[in-house]
Amino acid sequence: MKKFISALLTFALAFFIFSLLYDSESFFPKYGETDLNNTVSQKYIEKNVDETRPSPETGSANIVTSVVVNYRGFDTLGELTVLFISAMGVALLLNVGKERIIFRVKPNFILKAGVRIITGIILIVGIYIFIHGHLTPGGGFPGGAMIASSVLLMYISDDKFKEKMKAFNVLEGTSGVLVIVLGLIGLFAFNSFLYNFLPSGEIGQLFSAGLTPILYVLIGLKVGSELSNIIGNFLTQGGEK
Amino acid sequence: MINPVLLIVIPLLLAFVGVMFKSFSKSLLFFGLVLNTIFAFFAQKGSYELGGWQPPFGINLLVDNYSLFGIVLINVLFLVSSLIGMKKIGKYSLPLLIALAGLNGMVLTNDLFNFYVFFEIATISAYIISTLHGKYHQTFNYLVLGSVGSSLYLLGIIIVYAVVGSLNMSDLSVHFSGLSQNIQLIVSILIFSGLAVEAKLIPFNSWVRGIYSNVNTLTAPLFSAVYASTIFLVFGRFFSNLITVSGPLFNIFIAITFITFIFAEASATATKNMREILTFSSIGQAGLITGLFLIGGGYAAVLQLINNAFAKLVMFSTAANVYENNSSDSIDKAAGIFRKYPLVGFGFTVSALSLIGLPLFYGFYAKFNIINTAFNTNWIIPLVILLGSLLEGVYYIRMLVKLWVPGEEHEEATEKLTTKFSMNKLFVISVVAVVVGFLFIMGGIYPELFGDFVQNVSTPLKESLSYLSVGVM
Repeated sequence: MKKFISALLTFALAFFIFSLLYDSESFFPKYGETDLNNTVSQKYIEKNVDETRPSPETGSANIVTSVVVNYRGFDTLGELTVLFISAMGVALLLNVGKERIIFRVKPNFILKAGVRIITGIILIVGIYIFIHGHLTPGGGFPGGAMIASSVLLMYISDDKFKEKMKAFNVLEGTSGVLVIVLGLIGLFAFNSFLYNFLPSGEIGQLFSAGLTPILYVLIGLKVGSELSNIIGNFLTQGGEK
Repeated sequence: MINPVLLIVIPLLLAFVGVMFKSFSKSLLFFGLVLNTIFAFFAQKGSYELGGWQPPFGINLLVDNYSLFGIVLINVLFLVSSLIGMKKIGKYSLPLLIALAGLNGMVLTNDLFNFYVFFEIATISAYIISTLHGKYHQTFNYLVLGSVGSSLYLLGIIIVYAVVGSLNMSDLSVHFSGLSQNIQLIVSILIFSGLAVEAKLIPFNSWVRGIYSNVNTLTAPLFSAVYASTIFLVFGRFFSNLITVSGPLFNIFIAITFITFIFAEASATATKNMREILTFSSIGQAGLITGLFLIGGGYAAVLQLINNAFAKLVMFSTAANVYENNSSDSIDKAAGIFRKYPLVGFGFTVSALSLIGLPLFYGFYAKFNIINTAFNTNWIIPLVILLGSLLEGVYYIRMLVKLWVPGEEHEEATEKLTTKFSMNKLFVISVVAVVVGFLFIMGGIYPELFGDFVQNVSTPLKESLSYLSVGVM
């Protein structure tokens, strides 16, 4: 009965939203027919928000990266914090530092040998993705998630991996602190937090887009270590308080 | 001068440092709280760009009288709450730091999506902090409802972005009245229901009883004073500056808020546990304050917001303290407890009387203005408010009499009869109780002191937001 009512409510809400937006009087733009001239995104695409900045103003070939790390970098700092606080919640509630979960099936030779080969590749691809975030699709968040997936593999295959997890706390803290310190340099030297104070260079070069790649590397490291910490916490057995 | 972005960034920085040096996290917390409180007083009005991009292309923080008051209130209350619950903090100092950053961001930001990010940060911290009382089921309930609420808000701003083409609050405030009826309707409903979960309005508030009725000395003042004030301030910003509601929808919203008020006040008369009564009273106040913001009574709403924040700070922490020492906070069993602790009793009594709105206390001035504002709309709303206040008076005065006078009826109240219940002799609670008590009495005798100040605070609510007129540091 409960499920029926919730399904009914969902359909009612969907119908309500759809009927209001689909109405010809609502001026809600149809898919793919938005008039970009009146939106902020037009200026992001043309990279001409600020006339006084040297052109190209963000220098990043990937427009999503421009928006995420440069124009709206403060949101990204917030998203990092959301992930950070969630990881912290997992750590606090699962009561870390206890025994590692012992699986009924021991990691066998094939798994161990396979992981040794494959983790390196995954790590390299992950690092590639966040270093090239300003050139190709990708960036700090997916790159960090890939790093965490290689950590998960190592965790499953290696019984003694637990001891090495402490390093991730340091990495997590340092990369977070560095992001904020870079932001504060912008604040004190250029009056604006997270100001992109490095030269933007030539679009398409690895060393271009100013602060963006540096921030993306830090974000990637932070996301990677946070997700790895979450994995580590889930794979430990909660003990008594 | 102080750039207000520091109020958000410093707690974050300290939290990141705290991950590496876990043993210092408590000192980092108090360092951050004190620093933030000092900085909040030195923040200057203006619009502050982030990343060097002018709004609406980048994010900006808007500091007008309203948000300036907001950050001072939040940081001071947060510091006081942490001092009251210092012993309970334990491992939770880092979530508290993040919560502070999130709450400051919610009040300061002038960007709809940036607000969502800070809203998430603040609520996720709240879920974590609420696990302090060990009722995980209630926390889970809160988490589910809170997530649904913030998703509804997010859906609302997606529609805003598709239509307005910008996420800046000032842009929305200028363009909102020009949008088509359908869009106005859907956006206001989605944003209202998103915020209503945190603002404790019926029917979105089923989490409140589980969380508020189980609070301890740390979470009691934190949730009832700090979080509640922040969400009211934000609600006021959204429904005075950005979104104007009219027609049948306006009546529905008003009905929701005042039904919340009356229902909660009525439920409070039926229970006999201190924290439960205060929980219902908090829900009631939430209905009253949000309702006042909706009918355009920003001035009266801010007056009552201050009244509620400080009164609940004292009353909830006292109730939590009583519970912690006796594992029960039933009023009958705690009869006469204030004879043993007259200082706390004084603060509690003055706060309760001020919340009811009796003359001689600051609350009278607030209630007087509330009724005055309400009479400008129609005759039903003032009637509802008077009825609610009457109910409020009944249960608070019944509670106060019990807590001061031990023994049965017809029996002479003596020290001997005083309950065996005890309280921790917390220096902070006594000081806070006495200071708040005196402030309420001062405010009652010289209402002009607060009146002018609140008048200044609430003026920005009457105008549409602009980010270009004020200077940039």
